Amino acid sequence: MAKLFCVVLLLLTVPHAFTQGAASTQADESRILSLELAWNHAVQVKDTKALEMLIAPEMAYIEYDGTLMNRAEYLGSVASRSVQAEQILCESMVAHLYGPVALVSGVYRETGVKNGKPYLHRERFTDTWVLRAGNWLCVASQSTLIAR
Amino acid sequence: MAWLPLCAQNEFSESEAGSKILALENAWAQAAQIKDVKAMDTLLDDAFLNVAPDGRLMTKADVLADVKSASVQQFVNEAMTAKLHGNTAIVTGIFRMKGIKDGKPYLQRGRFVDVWIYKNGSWVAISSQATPIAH
Repeated sequence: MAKLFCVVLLLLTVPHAFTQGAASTQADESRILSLELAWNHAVQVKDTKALEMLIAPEMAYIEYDGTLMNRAEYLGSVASRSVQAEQILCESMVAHLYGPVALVSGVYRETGVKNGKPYLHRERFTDTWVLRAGNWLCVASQSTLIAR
Repeated sequence: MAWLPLCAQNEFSESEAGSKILALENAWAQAAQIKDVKAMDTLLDDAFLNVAPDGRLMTKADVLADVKSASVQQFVNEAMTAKLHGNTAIVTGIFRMKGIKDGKPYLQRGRFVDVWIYKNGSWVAISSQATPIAH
């Protein structure tokens, strides 16, 4: 878990040059996609410290069942012992940059155990990231169930 | 276009922008209800992406075509909140849509997140996603 925390820290602190070049855009998109993967891993290992570095204090999180959560509620749900995500597999993921804002849309497949029962979800998600003081932070995340 | 950094001086106050965006959300709902494709065209960025309540990923063209063909009798927004992040706004809320599909009436309620950016002097939506919730 400490290793993951370090990876997230590294991803967040790589010096960021806000320019309009294609190379910079590509670098930002790659960085954000790496942060998405770090997020998935943090959920699997319940590393809420790493998650705190990825999500903005005012983040809005909408669960696949429509539940609206703030950052504290979301972190609480990840830490909860009643849910254990065993595998989160990204099937597709694309980042779209709008200057200091990025949208990531994709599909992931999650298996795990909730309240003692196994589950399998396939969800389409949209995450919105903003560049703040040189770091990309997620300000909104939403998932919608799709057919398996 | 030239993107302004988040710290750039905006042409609007936060409260003004918040009210404006919520008004645009209602205009969007109204446009869906009365099949006003022209109005919707001005609200959505050309790169707009939509995730429908059934999980379908739709482009702006898909959404406009959907509006033309759908039979929506009522489309209203509830409990909307706009949060500003520089030149970006995130709106969360609940929509309620009534209509007729394949000859059968339906009622759908969903929680949505819409993302707006301030571009060339006006606000345009770049993304929308809806997740069904209980009626």
